[in-house]
Amino acid sequence: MNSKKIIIAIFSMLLSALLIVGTINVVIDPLFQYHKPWFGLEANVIDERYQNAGIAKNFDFKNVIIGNSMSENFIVSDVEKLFKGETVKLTASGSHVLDWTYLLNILSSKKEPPENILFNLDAGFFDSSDKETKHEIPMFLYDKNYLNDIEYLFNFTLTSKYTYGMIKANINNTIPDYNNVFVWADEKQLGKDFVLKNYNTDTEDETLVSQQEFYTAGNLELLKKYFDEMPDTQFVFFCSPFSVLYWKEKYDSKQLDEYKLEFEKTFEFMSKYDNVTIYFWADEDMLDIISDLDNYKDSTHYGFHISKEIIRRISNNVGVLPKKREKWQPLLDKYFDYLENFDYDKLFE
Amino acid sequence: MLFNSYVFVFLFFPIVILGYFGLNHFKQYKASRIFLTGASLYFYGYFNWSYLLIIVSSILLNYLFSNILLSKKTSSVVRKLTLSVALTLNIGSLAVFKYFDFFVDNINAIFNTSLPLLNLLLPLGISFFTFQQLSYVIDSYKKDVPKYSFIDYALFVTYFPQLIAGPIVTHDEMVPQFADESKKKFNADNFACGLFGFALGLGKKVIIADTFGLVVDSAFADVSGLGTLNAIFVMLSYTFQIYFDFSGYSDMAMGIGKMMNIEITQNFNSPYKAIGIVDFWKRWHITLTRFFTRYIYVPLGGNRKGTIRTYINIFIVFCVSGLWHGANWTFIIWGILHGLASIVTRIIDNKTGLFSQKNSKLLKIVLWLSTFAFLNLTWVIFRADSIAQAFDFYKEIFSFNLIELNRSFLSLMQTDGIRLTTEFIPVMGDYIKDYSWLWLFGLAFILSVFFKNASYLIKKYKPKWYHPVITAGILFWCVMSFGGESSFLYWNF
Repeated sequence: MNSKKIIIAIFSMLLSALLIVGTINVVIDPLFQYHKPWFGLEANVIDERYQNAGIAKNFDFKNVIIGNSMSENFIVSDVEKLFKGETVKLTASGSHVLDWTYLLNILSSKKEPPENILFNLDAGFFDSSDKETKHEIPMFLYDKNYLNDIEYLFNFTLTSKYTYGMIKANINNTIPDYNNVFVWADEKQLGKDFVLKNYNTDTEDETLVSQQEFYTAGNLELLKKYFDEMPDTQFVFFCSPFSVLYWKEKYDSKQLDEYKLEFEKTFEFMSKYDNVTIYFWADEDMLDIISDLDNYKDSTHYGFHISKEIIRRISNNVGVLPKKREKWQPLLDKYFDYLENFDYDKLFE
Repeated sequence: MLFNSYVFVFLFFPIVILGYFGLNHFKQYKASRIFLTGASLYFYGYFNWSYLLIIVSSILLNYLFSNILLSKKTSSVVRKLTLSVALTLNIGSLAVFKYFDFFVDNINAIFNTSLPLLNLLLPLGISFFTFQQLSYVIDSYKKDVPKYSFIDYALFVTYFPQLIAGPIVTHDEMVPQFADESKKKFNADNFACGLFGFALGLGKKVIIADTFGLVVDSAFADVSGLGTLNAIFVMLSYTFQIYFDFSGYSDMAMGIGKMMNIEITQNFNSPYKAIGIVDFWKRWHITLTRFFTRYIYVPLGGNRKGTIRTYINIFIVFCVSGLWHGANWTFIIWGILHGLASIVTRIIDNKTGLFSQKNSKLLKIVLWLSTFAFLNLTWVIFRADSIAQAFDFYKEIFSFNLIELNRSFLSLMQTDGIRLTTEFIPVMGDYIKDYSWLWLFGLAFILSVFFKNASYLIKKYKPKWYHPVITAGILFWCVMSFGGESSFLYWNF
C-alpha cells in the first residue's frame, strides 16, 4: 500500500466515522441545539447547564423560570397556571445574574420572546460577581458559533450521557416527568435539627472579620439591557425568603444595613421599568416563615411547601412592590427592623 | 494551544499545513518561514497573549547577544561581558518567573519573615525555550555556530511542535532543515509516517495517560487512608501517566515535524526497559540529559578530573535537573535521589560490572525490577504536592494495610468511550467495562516494557496495510475524548 493511498484511507475512515457520530447527534440532538426532539422521541431533560440553552433556543413556550436553587422547586404546571401558558424551567443551581444573561441573550433574539420570566431575587443578587460565573458554563452551547459545536457533536461523554441516554430512556420508558424537572426538595432533609446540625459555626466566625463585596450595580447593568430590549416581556422577581439564620451572619458582622442598602438600590432601579414586577413580603406570615427553621434545609434553602406558598402569593398578587419609594421603603424598613431586633440566640435553644 | 484539542486538530494544524506547503509550492520559502513563525507564536499566545511579550523579547535579546558574540569586531572584553549579561538575563528570567516565590517562601519559613511573593503566572515552556536559546548563545560565544537570519533563529526557537514541552532541540539540528529546499515539497511518505506518529503520541496521551491521570489526581487530593494496595495502584498509575503523557507529547512533536519533512530529535527510548538508573537517563528525556551534559557536566570537568570529581559533577547535574523540573523541594529531593542512585550504580558497576556486562536472564529481571521499583517510588515524590504528602504516601504503601481497591478509582478508569462502546458489545461488554482498569494497566505495561517505542516506529516507518485502521481508529477515539463534560458541585448551591 503506498503512502498516498494510506493517507486517503486514514482521512476517509476518520471523516466517515466522525460523520456518522455527528449525524446521529444532530438527528437525536439531546441538547436541543438544532431542533425539538424528532420521531416522537420525548425530551430527556436531566442537566440544567447543558440543556437550558437548547431548550431556550428551540422549544415553544410563553413563560420561563430562570434562577438558581431558590427557583428550582417550582412545579412547571403551577407556573403555567400562574402565567396561563406553556412554561419552561431554565434554572441552574449556583447560577449568578451573569449566567442568566446567557439565557436572556438567546431569549431576546427569539422571534417570539417569552411573555413572562420569573426570577428569584435575594442576597446572591448583590454579592455574586457580575464578571464570572460560579460554575463553568459550556459556552459552545450558548453562543452562535457553529464551529465550536464540534465539542458537542464529537464527544464521547455527551454522546454517551445524552444521546445514548435519551434513546435508552425513550425505549425503557424512563423519561423523567418534566413537571418536576430539577426539583431537589426532600422533606426528609428539612427541619431545625437538620439545619443546625449542618450549620457551620466556623463560617460564622469568618464572616465577623470578612466584609462582603457587593456587585449590585454591575448585576443591574447586566439586566438593564434586557429590560430595554424586551419591552413586551414581564420580568417578575420574587424576593427569596432566606431564613433568619442567614441574616444572623450579617447581623453578627454588622452588615445588615449594607444589605438593606443593596435592596434599596435594586428596588429603586427596577421600579423605573414598567416591564419589571417585584414581589417582596414583609407581612407577619412571611416573617414567621423565615423565623421558623423547620421550613428550611439550611440557612437559605426553603422546603417545597414554601415554593408552593411563593407561587400562591404571586398568583394572588400578594406583595407586589409599589413603584414609589415612599411606599416600599416602610416595607423594607419593617423587614430589616425585624432582623435587627430578632433574638438570634433563640434559634439555638 | 494543546495538541489534544479540537482547535488544533480541526483548525490550526490543517491551516498551517496548507499555508506552509502552499507557500513552498510557489517557492515563497522565506514567506513560508515567516508564516510558520507567526503560526507558532499564535499557537503559543493562544494560552495567554501576555506570554507573547516574554517570548518575543527573549528571542530579540538573545538574537542580539548572539550577533554581538559572533561579530568579528567585538573585543574579547565585550564578548565576555555580553555572555555574562545573556546568562544573567536568561537565568534571571527563569529565576524570576519560576523560582522567585519558592526562594522567598523558604526565606520566610526559615527567618519567620513575611516578604511578599510575586505570584507571577509561569509562562509555559519558559524552561524549554530559555535552554534552547542559552545553548545558541553559549555556542556563539565559542564561535561554534554560523550566523542565522533573524527569521531562521526565531523559527528555531518558536517552532510550535517542540515549543511548549520540548524536545530541547539545538540550532544545528533545526535551522539547516528549515533552510533545506529539498524538504519544502509535500512528501506523502513523510506525511503518512508523521500522521501515524502523531496518532500514536496522541493516543498515548489521551487514551492512556489522561485516564491514569484521573486516578492520580483523585488520590493525591487526599492520600490518607489509601492503604497499601491503593497506594501501589496510584503509584503505578502515575508512573505510566507521566511516561505516556510526556513521551506521547514528544511523539506528537516528532510526528508533526515529520509531516512537514522536519526531523525532530528523539526524546524517549523505552525508559521503562532500563536496567539501572544510568541506563534510564540514557532513555528518559534524552535531550535534557544532552543539554545538561554539554553545558553543565562537561564545563564542570565531566569525568576528566578523577572519580570523586566525576561523582560530584553528576550529583550537581542531578540537583540542577531536579530544580529545572519545578520550584519545589519535592523536585530537588527527586533530583538528589536520582543523582545518588546514579552514583551508586556507577560505583557498583565499576567494581563488579553488574550493569554493563552480559547477565543471565534472571539477574536482568532482578535488576530491571529494582530499577522499576526505584523509579516508581521516586515518582511519588515528584508528583506529591509537598515532602510531607510524599511521606504520607510512603506511609500508606508500607502500612501493609491491605484494604480492597477503591471502587471509585476503578470506575474512574471506565472512560465514557469505554462505557459507550461496551454497551454495543454483546456478552463480553460488561466484562470489558468492569475490568477496563486491568486492560489499561496491561496495555501500558506491555507497550512500555515489551513493545518497540513510538519514536522507533516513526524512524523505521514502513507503510503497512493496517496503518490506516490503527491511525484513523486512534485519531477518532482521541477526538471523541477531547471534550468531556464539566462537572458541577450541585450540592454546593
